[in-house]
Amino acid sequence: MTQSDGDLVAGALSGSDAAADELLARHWPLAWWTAYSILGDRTTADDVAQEAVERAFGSLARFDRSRPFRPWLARIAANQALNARRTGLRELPVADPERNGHQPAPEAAHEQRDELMTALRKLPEARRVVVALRYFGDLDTSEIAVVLDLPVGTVSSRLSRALAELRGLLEVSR
Amino acid sequence: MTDIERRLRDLARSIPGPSAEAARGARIRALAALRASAGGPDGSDRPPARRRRIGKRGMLALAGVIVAGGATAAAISTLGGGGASPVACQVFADRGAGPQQLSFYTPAAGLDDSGNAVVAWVARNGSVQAATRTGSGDWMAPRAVSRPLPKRYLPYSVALVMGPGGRSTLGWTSKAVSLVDWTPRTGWGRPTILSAPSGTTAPQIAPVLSVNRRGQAAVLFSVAQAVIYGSGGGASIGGTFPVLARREPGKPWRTVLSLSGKNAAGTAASRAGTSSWFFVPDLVLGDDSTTSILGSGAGVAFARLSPEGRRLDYQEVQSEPGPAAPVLGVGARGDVVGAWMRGTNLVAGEQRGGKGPWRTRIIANPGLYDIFLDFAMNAEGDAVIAYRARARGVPGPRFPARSPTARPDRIIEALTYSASARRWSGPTRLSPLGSPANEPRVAIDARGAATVAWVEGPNNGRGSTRIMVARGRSGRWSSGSAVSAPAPDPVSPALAVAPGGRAMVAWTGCRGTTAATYVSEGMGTAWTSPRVIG
Repeated sequence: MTQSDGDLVAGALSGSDAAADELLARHWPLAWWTAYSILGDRTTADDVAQEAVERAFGSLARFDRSRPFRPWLARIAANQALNARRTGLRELPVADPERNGHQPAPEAAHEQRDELMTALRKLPEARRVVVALRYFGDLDTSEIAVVLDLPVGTVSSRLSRALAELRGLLEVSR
Repeated sequence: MTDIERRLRDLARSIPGPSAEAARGARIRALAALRASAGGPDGSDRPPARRRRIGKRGMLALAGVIVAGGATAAAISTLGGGGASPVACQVFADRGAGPQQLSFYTPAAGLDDSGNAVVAWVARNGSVQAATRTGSGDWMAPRAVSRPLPKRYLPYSVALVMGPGGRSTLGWTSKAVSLVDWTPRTGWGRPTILSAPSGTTAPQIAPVLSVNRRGQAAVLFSVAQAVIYGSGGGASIGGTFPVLARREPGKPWRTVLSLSGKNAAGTAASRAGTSSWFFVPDLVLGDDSTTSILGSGAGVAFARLSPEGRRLDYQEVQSEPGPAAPVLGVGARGDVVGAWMRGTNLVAGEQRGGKGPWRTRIIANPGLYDIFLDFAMNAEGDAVIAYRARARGVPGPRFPARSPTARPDRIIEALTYSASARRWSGPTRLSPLGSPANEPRVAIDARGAATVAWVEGPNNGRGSTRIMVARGRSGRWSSGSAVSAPAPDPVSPALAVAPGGRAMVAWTGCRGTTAATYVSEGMGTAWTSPRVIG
């Protein structure tokens, strides 16, 4: 029988590495996608998501087990990512050949995908984050509301406006 | 589902998810955090017993490495201890602390002839903070130039260089190396982060920064080859390799020499002959845009690189091991002067005009392997060296020492180098016999007047430790004078001297239970009363 998140949290707190591993395996992708959704950069998302799970597991004892774990973790990841974004840090990986002035590796870029990414980047941050959490992070509107500390109605309206805006941007680009 | 939603889902599917490497890192960090939190009844930071035991082993490892002397010793120890955190002032006062803890309190300082000044330090909340002064104005309140850094990745110290016009670059190493600029006109800029391919830099040792009179800047830092996490969250370094980055005025930083994610570790670094260097190499960016690097380890080697990273010169200046971090300076005429250890001997070398073979000779015998060597050179090529030495005839503490930093048999000695005469003075003892002295810092002005600052006192919590300074030229020194009031634990001074001779000492001291940053400024032999700036 699959253990609930609450059981895994209890197991992890009582010293079970297996429970902690299972909890992490179950939710690590969510932390990463949440960070990536907000930051749009894989390297930074790795770092921020790791910090988020470190922070979450470090304060697992304070987690209210009567509440769902998933949005709690996503909220920590989102906060970390938004903080990282606000600090405006510019990441310059020393081994990134493109940034270091070498020829970029050939990449099979899909034209349509590029078009959509470009349109996404044009959205105001508040709407872009909601779209990213919904479609990249696979969170539903109530979970996004918890993550961003917003009313569900606000999330829904931001999402629908963002989709309308995206539609308009894609039509203009044709 | 609308068309746009379908396309968004397709887009999400087309983006690869998190890598296995990132997942492994997440697991390590999550489990370590979980274990750390499990130690306290309320999820506090108190480590569990298992981790404390690992910490003790880490400290034993530190003791072993310190015998050989080395800047990386602190890194290994503190990581071995499962994470670093600043100690409370009273703890420091009562017990003394190892060099790695001293460094938490070490500020960095910059000063120019216009009065522009910067002092930066690691604050107790883990953020890097800085106080600045523009021209003849007053000190601004300190501000955080970084967010609070993760506890496990707190920088040991920060590095600061001030270039033409007061333009300064501040650097520190947390998980990656961060660099941020300050100018008197525009204030602090946005940080640049230089991260290693693996996302891991050699832990927390401040990067080596250099700026030349053209405003070009260079930074050298070490990348860990391997970090092995123990079950208690500890780690050790399998080996480190240098990374060199440069910045032209007004341009972004670019990496000149680095590890490649695809190459074997050290392949790129071997171009500079640096892959066998164990201690933090020293770096100087010359006015001719070349970078000179002196490193030690199995031997001591010098390399000069073109702005593009091409090796212009490489010499092994010593085949015997160099048991501590070397120091290096380059004068405006291209004369290169360096110093390093050979056993317990201090060796100086020079390369005239930046060409030809190095000439070396022993200039002192400090009687120790780890001498906290500091070095400064002005544009004329005059230089000063200060170090911690063993006082002959003064008995040391009985082991195990209660306060390891409070050894009465430790003194500060200094030598000056005259570029015109091309000779070193003899070593001069600056601190009195029988009073422990530590952490010397040196600076030299454009006319060759040298300043040395150090911390002196028994560090036994009885309030008699002071920050001392002495000024000298051509081997002749003033007697030491105190710039701080006697206190339980003023530690680790930072020293900056403007080309015109104006000097500033900054240090960390205790105000009750809180560490504060103090400054005192001097011209000639007069020093201002200490002032709290942060």
